[in-house]
Amino acid sequence: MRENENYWKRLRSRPLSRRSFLVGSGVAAAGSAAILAGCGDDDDDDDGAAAPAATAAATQAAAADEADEAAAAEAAAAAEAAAAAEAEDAKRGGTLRLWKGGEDAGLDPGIYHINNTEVIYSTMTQPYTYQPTKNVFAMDGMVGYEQVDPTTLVWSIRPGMKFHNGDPVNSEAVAFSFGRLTKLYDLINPHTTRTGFVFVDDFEATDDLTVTEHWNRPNADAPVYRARHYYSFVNPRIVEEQGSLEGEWTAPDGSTENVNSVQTLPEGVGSGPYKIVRRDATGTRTERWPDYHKHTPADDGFVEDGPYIDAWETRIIPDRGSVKAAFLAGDLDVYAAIDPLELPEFEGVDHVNVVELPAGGAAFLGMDGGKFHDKRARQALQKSLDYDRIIQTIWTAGGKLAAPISDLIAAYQKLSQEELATWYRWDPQEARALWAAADFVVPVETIKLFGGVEDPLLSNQVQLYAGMIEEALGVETVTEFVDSNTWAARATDISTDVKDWELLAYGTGTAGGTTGVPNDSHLINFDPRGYGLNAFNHWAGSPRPEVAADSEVLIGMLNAQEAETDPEARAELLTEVQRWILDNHYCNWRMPISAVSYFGFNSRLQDFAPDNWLNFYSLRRESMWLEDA
Amino acid sequence: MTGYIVRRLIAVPLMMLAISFILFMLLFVRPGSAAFAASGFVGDNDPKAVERFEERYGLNRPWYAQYGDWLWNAVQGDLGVRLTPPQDPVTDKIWERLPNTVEVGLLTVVLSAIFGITIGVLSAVRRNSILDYVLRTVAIAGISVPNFWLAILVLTLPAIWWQWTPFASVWVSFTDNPLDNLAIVIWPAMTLALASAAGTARLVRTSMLEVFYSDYVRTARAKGLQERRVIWSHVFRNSLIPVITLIGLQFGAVLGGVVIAEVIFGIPGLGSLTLAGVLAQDYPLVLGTICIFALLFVLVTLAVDLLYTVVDPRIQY
Repeated sequence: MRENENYWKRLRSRPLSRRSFLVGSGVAAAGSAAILAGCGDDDDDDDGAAAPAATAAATQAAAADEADEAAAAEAAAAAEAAAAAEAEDAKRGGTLRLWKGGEDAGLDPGIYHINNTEVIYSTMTQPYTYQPTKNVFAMDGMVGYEQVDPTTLVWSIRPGMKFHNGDPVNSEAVAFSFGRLTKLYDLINPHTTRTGFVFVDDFEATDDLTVTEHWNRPNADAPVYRARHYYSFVNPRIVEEQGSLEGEWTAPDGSTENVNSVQTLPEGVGSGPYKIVRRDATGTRTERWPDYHKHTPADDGFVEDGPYIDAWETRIIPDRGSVKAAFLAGDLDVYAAIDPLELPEFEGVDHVNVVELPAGGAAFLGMDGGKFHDKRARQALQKSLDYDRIIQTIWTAGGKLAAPISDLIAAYQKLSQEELATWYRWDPQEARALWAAADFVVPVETIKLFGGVEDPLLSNQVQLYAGMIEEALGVETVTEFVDSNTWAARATDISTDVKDWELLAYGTGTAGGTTGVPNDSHLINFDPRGYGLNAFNHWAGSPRPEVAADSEVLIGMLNAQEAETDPEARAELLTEVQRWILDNHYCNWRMPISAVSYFGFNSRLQDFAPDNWLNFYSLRRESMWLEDA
Repeated sequence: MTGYIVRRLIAVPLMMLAISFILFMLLFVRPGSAAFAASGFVGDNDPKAVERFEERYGLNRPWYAQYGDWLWNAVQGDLGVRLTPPQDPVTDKIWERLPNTVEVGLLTVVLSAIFGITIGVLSAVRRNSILDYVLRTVAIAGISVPNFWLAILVLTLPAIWWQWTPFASVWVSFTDNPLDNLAIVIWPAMTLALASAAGTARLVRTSMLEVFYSDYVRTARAKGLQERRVIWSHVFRNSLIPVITLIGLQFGAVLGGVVIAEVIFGIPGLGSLTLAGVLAQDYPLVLGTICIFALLFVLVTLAVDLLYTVVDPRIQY
C-alpha cells in the first residue's frame, strides 16, 4: 500500500509545534539568506565583470564587512537562543491546582475512570492524544502507526522510554497493556468501553518497538480509541508481581491465566512525567519525575524536555458551590463549565479568565419501545414539543437543535440546522392525529417523564416538555425525579417488556466534550446494542416486530459506517444513519442544547488551549505553564 | 448507679442490632444495586457483569444470609469491604475519617454551648432590655437559617467580594498542625453551632426565667446573698438540667449536620464518606458509618444521663 493510500496517514494532520515552527523558520530564513547571497554573488559577479579595476582595498573592506556581519549574525543568533532558553526556563515550575468531586475508585487505568484521570494523565504514558475538533493526533508514547491492511494496524513505540523503576517500555509492555483490557472486561466489566477492542483478535509484539493489532473486521475508530487513557502503558512486571488478582481468565482456546489489577498504582507501574506522592481522602499530589523521556519531535501540546509545570495538586471538593468559592478566591487554576446564569459572579475578578466555546452538551428524551412501538406514536410525541419555545425559554444565551451525533465532530456532522428543523417541527394538530392513529399494544393513559434529581435544570426542562406534551396530545403527564443510581436501575430494568416510565430524560445540554468517536457522541444512545437494548426496549430481540425489524436495519447501518475507513465515505454513511434515525423517530430524541458554553480558568494558567476542553485529553497538555511559577 | 449503667450498656448492642437491621433492609429494598453502580454506564452495561459482580460479593444471596454474614463479622470488628473500588476495608476507612468528624462535632457542641449559654444567661438577666431583644432576634434568625445555606454563604460571599474564602486551600490534620487544623475546622463548627446555639440560648433563657421566680431563689435573695451568687449558684445551676438534655440531643443533630458541613467545607470525615456510600449504594460502607454515628449518639445520650447526677444530686438511678 502506498503511503498516500493510508487512510490514517491522510486523516492525521500532524500539528506544527512551536519548536518545529522555529526550526522551520530558521531553515527557511537560512535558505532565503543563501538565495539572497547567491543573488548578491551574481550581482557582484556582474559588478566585477563591469568593473575589473576594483581595488584590493575595497575587496578587503568588503571581506571585513562580511566577517563583521557574520559575527553579528552569530551573536544575534546566540542572543536569540539565550533569550529563548531563558523564556523556556521562565515557564518551568509551579504547582497546578485542580479539584475533583470525590475520591478515586482505584487508579488502574484499565478499570474505573472515576475521579482518577488526573493521576493517570500525569503518571502514565498513552499512545497519543487526539483533539477531535482540530482532528489532530499528537504523539506521546507512540511515534507513528500504519494501517497496513484493513484489519492490521502496526504501531511504532517511542524509543528510549522507561517505567519509573527503570524497566524499559517496549512492545511486550504495550501489547500486555492493551491485551489486558479485554481480560479485565471479561472478569469485572470495568468502565472501559469494550467497543474500543471488541474487533481486535490480538495485540502482537512484533519486535522490540513494534506492536501489531490483528482485527477480525475493519474499524475506523480504532486509532481514536487508542488515545483514551485506558490504553496507558503499564509495566507487566509490576502488574504481575504487585498487582491484585482479579480472577482467572479463560482464553477462547481454553487456556487460562491470572489477571491482575493495579488499583493502588505501585511504584514503577507508570512511565509518565510525574510520580504520585500523595493519595488520601483530601486528594492527590503528583510531582515531576526527573528521568522522564524526551519527546523529539514534540507534537502539539508536548514539550521536548517534559512538562513545564512541576507538580499537580488535586483537592477533593464534593460541593460545586465550594469549588466556585475556592476558584474565585484564587485557590484553583481550573473551574470548568460555568452556568451562564452565574457569569456575572465571575466578571471583574482579576485572576479569572472566562472563555466562550461551542457547547457540546447532550440532552435526551428516550422512549420506551415496549409502549411506543408504533412509529406514529413516537412521531406524535416529537411533534408535540415546541422547539423554538424550548430554546427561547431554556437557552437564553443561544440554543440549537441537536443531531444524533455531536456537531463537535465536524468531519462527520453534515446535517445543518435547517435540515434538522424539518424533523424538529412543532405541530400539535398533526401530533394529536398521529397519536390517535397510533397502535398501542399496551395502552398509554398517562405519560411519565422520568429523570434524575441531581440537576435542577433537568427538572425545569422536563416540566416544560411535560406541559407541552399534555397540551398537544391531551394526555395526562406526570414527572418523577429520583437519585441517579435509582434512575439508572429503573432505566435499565429489562425484566419486563415495558418500563415503569414512558419517557426517560437525561442530560441538560449545557457544556460537554467529545472523544471524537461517533459511537460515543452520541450514537450509542440510539444503538440497539447500547442504550436501545439496555434502556429503551429498542433492540433486535424486541417482542414488537416493527421495533425488531427497525433495529436490524439500524445495526447494519451502524456496522457499515464503523467499518468504513475513508473519511468522506464514512461521513456520508453517518449522515444516512442520522437521517434514518430521525425519519424513523427511533428510540431516542436529542433535545435542543445550548449553542455556547463558558469555561473558567485562572489567568496565571497559560497555553491551556481552552478548546481542548472539548475533548478528554486536556490534562495531557505538557505545554501549559504557570505565569507566576 | 452501677446497675443502671450496666443495664444501659446491655441495651446498646440491642439498639445497634435494631438500627443495623432497619438500615440494611432500607438499603436492600431500594431500587438499583452496588453491582449496577460499579459495572458500567447505562449504554455499555452488560447484565452478565452485574451477575458476576453480585456473585463475587455474595449479593445474589438471600437478604438474611447477607445480613447474617455482615453482622457476624461486625461483632468481631470487621465491617466488611467497600463494594465500590478500591474495595478496601470499611473499618479502616472509618478509623481514618472518624477523628475529623468527632473533632468537628465536639467543637460544634462546645461552641454551641458557649454561645448559647452566654446569650441565654445575658438575655435572661437583662430580660426585656434592648440587649435581650437583639439577642432573641439573633437566636430566632439562627434557628431559622438552614445551616447548609449559611455554609454556602460563608464560603461564597467572601470569595465574590474579596477573593478570599474560609475554604481550606490544603487540609491539615490536628496531629500535624493543631493551629492550622483549627483554623480550618472552626468554620464548619461555627456554621453548625449557630443553629444549635440559638436553640440553647432560648432554652437557657426560658429555664432561667422560670427559676428566677421560684421560692428558693426568693429565699436566697432574702438571705442577702449577692445577685451574682444567686444567679450562678441557684438560678443557673438549677436551670441546667434541660439545657444538658438539649445539648446531648443536639449532638445527634450535629452529627447529621456534619454530613452536609463536611461536604461543603471539604472536611475528610465520616459524613462525606457516608454520602459517597449512599450514592454508590455501597451497603457495607453505609451500614458501617451509620452504625458508628448511631453508637456515638447512644453513648453521648448515656453520658448525658449520667451527667444529670452531677448537676442535680437529687437524681439517683
